Amino acid sequence: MLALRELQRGRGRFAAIVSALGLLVFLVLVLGALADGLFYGATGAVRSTSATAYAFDDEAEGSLVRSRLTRDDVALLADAPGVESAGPVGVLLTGGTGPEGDVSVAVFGIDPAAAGAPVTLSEGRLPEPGETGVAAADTRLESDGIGIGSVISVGGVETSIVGMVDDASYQLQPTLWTALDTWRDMRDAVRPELRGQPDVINAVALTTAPGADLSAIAATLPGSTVLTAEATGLAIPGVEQQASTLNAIIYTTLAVAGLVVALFFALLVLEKRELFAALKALGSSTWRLGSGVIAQAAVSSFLGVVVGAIVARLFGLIIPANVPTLFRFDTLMTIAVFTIVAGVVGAVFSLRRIARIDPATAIGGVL
Amino acid sequence: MTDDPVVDATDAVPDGPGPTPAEDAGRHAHALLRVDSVSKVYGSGHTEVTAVADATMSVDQGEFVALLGPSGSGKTTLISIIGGLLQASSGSVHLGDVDVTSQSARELTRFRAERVGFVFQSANLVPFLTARENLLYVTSLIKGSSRSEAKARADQLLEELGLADRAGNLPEQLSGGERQRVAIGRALMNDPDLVLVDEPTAALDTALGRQVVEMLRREIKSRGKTGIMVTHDLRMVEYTDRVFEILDGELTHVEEPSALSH
Repeated sequence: MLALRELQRGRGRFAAIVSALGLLVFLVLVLGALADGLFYGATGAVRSTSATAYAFDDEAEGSLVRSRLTRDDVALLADAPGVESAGPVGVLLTGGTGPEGDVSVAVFGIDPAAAGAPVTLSEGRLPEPGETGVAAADTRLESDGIGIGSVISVGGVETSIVGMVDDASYQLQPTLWTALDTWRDMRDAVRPELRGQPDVINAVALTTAPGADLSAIAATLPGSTVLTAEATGLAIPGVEQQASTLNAIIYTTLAVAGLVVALFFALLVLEKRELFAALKALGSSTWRLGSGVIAQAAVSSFLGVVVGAIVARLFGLIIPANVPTLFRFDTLMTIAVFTIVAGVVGAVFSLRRIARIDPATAIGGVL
Repeated sequence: MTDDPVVDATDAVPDGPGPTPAEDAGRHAHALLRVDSVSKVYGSGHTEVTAVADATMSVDQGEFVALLGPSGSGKTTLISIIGGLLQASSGSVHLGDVDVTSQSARELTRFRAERVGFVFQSANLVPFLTARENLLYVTSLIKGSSRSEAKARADQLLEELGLADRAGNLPEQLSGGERQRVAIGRALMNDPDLVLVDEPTAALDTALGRQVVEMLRREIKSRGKTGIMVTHDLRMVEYTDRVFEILDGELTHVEEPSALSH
């Protein structure tokens, strides 16, 4: 009763801590959105497909573009233990021409009927197996005026767009998904030195049975490595480093939020020392007074999260589209929980101070 | 009454005809409050300070007594020990069947909530609770207390104290006298056996001070409670039944208030 009445009647002073926390939460949420934006933008093409694992050549260190395998390897891996489906993956990071001018794209050559085809189709369809001259485009290309029916030309090879896929970027570049033959035509046009190697692909996408042994799969193709789709995402250059840097900033900021709450409530308790002494004399226990302070910290932190989330969401609306940000509900929940825990832990430090208040000081005093 | 001489107990009270508190205690064998040879010593060795020395006193149920002494006489220490706020170095305090001096800290917290009412020097109300909520708060400290009974009781007390129309006001909206009246109501809220009052007029002028002490006496007497008021102000003792004088940590005499009249 005491703690909540104080919150209600002393709104001004609690507004200070709620705004301070709100700002910190806002900062953390924007950083989180950037971290998510970078991560999702870099890894979409390996997360948003039917593949659960990818096979690379040993020297590629998990990099799709660096890896070199052949179409024969696809058939070999398809028969490996625990593999349900295997499909070729060809990757070409290049530029193309769309209806509104030049665009950067990552062209993925796949077998639409096998592992590695995107599963996040938002509109239209994927190319049929063996169908040439058509592609599905990343929805991010919509900002370049590309939609179903548009034509994109890469190295003079034209494809018309028959479908749009979400969350499919690769290394922050929007993707174009074609059947393997179209991809090869584009590759040969852009990279003349690779002409005459019709069987060369980059990697093999695999759909594996639950619990399949990836090293046993790799053993069927000497000189190959098999990584899960998640590990493939993290192996993309920079992804893991970006994530760990941003996470370090996020958790440091959350620790600062805890310190701010600790300091605020320490001051509040200091200010109410006389009152708390009187209340203890009247028969209030340290625990009762302390739990009130903790409840206030929890409510303040919660309100700080609400304020921060609203401000961050509004801020998200004015972030330029080319800055990769992604506001995810999961991230918001994680940050909310961490903030409230940090706030409560911060307030717990006031308990010792409350415990040390001597009720006997309530009597005497002035005279 | 208005032209009272300003009498201050910073001068030792002249020896009156009254008995020593120990002699007096013999005559109150069935007293509600029995303080027996209580001492409080701070520090040790050459820094040793005796705040209260071998204090013995008895107060009957229904009595309103004063503990009169100058600043630094030990009256605050003694009342803190009686109220379970401070541990005595030796001796014992009994309130009815409770041995106050043998209680644990946790038991004392509960003892204070249930059996003792406090009125502090500067009312010390909770600033963000209304007058009525300040009263209700102390009842919420007692497990299993009935909320509706508490509300009825708070309203009745506020009515008696002339604060019915101030019940919804915050302390900052009340005058000094009104605040002290709310504090009296709070002290009586849990129907305690003992009401301890610490210099209730310290922050008030004479007229208001008299009004508050008069009201205090009326509320304590009408409920058959036992009250001890710590004061250094001789003008306030006329509202009490008996006066215990304390000087340099020693209880010296028990007087009739009339014996100290001016």
